[in-house]
Amino acid sequence: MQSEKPVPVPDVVTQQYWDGARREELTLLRCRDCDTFVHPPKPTCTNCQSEAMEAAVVSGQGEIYSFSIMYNHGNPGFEDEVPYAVGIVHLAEQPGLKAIGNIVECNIDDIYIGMPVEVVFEHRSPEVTVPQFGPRK
Amino acid sequence: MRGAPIRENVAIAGIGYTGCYRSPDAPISTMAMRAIVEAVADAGIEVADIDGICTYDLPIRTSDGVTGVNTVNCEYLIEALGLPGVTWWADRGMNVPMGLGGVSEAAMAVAAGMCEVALVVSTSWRPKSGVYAAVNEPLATGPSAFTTPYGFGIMPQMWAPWWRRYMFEYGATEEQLATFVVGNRANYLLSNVPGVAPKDPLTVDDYLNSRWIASPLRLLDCDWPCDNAGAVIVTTAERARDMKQIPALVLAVGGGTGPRHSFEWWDNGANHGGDYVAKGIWEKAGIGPEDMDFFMLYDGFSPFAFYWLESLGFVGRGEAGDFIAGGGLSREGSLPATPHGGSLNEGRSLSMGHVIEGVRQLRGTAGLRQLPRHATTVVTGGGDHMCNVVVLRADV
Repeated sequence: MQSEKPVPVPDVVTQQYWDGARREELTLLRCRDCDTFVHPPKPTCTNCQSEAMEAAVVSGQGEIYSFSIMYNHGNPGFEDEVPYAVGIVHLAEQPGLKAIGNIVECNIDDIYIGMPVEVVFEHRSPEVTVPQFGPRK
Repeated sequence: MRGAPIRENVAIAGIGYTGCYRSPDAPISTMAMRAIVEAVADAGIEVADIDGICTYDLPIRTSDGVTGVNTVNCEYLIEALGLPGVTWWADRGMNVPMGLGGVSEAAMAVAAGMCEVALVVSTSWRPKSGVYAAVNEPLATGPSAFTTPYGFGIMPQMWAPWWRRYMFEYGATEEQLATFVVGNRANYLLSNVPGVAPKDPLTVDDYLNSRWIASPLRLLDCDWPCDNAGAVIVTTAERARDMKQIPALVLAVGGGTGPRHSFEWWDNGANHGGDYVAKGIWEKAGIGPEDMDFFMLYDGFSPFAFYWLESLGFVGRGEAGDFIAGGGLSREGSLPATPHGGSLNEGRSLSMGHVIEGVRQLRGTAGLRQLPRHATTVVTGGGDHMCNVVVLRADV
């Protein structure tokens, strides 16, 4: 039987990301001073060290930068899903800006580097929605 | 001159090693003591001569560490060894990459005069149940909120996309990777290296037909969980020359992380921390990659062979595959690597096995595995993200 998947715990730095996900918005932090997106979220800008970080909804569009098909579940909650795909997605808004998610709504054999994807939202519980990525429609 | 305080002023004078085992008969503290006793005897000194100590220790999840049972630290060892006169000590985990990092720190401490005879102890412990290195926390806090809810939480899973990206960018092939894996197994079979991998020959076809862990990484691309303990005596070159063995002179130590310490978030395939290490390491060492007789490259995952060859400047970026396929890393090649079979065969020694074998080769005491050219080597630790490098020369 499959056990529970790890439940992401929002904190003061990441709350906006998880609140946005529940609204089905991919919400990153962006520096007001130099326009740099920082992900995973940090309270200060990695480019200019400013504290002027604010929530910004992004398009959710991107390309698969790389991926792996998992044949070992690793952490709990994925025992019955093997084989499944994890992708590193290069988001459209900024060079080098990456998001991690499962690649869903497609055959794992059809996944390739450069594949256009867009965010989809998986509502795992009333409290938890996780962004995922599927083929761009 | 930069790097001068260490170069040729510090040496490895003693080694002790339990080898890698699946289910040893003793707690890790006893294994550590065996390695320490062996290193002290190897150097021809007394325990009381030790005045500095550094531990690199890896229970798989630090929160599960029980001192004396599956983990050791300086406090424990100072008491266990009865050492009243320690003037330098450092407990290290993953912040300093691997046991090799402990050797580097000891070299710095000795060069700075913090101590004169430093003991470096590296231990690795395999949990006896559950999926190895599995992240079992049901709540994903902090940065893990962005990885483990996706089933992206164990090391081979996290390294796999980078190898796929490297192959994509440079045209490297799984056959080239297989060449390294197969050659490493051949090295392991040369002599009785205690280790976890089966003592069976491996062919490229065996490799290509073997099972996936996280594509494009196979089970055979991953090192083997094991228990082990290693100990190294680091001292001044002057003291080392009065001890029993041929000193392994330290020419340089270096570390590097690249702009992203957490490798699952690299900006691109060229994050390699090894590039940053290499910027200074050869200048500090006073010799270059072309002077290396053999290569103790850290092979926690097989693709590291590609990254390290390129980062340290043995070949240009993207050229490692051809070099490996051409036999460059084999015993007969221009840069024999991991003559003991590496972590991929002996087990997850977290670079301590590479230090130990490197020193044996330098001394000429590697028996059936002895390489004919063995005066200089570079030992690496880590997968080219947070990583560590030590350049050594036999004092002959």
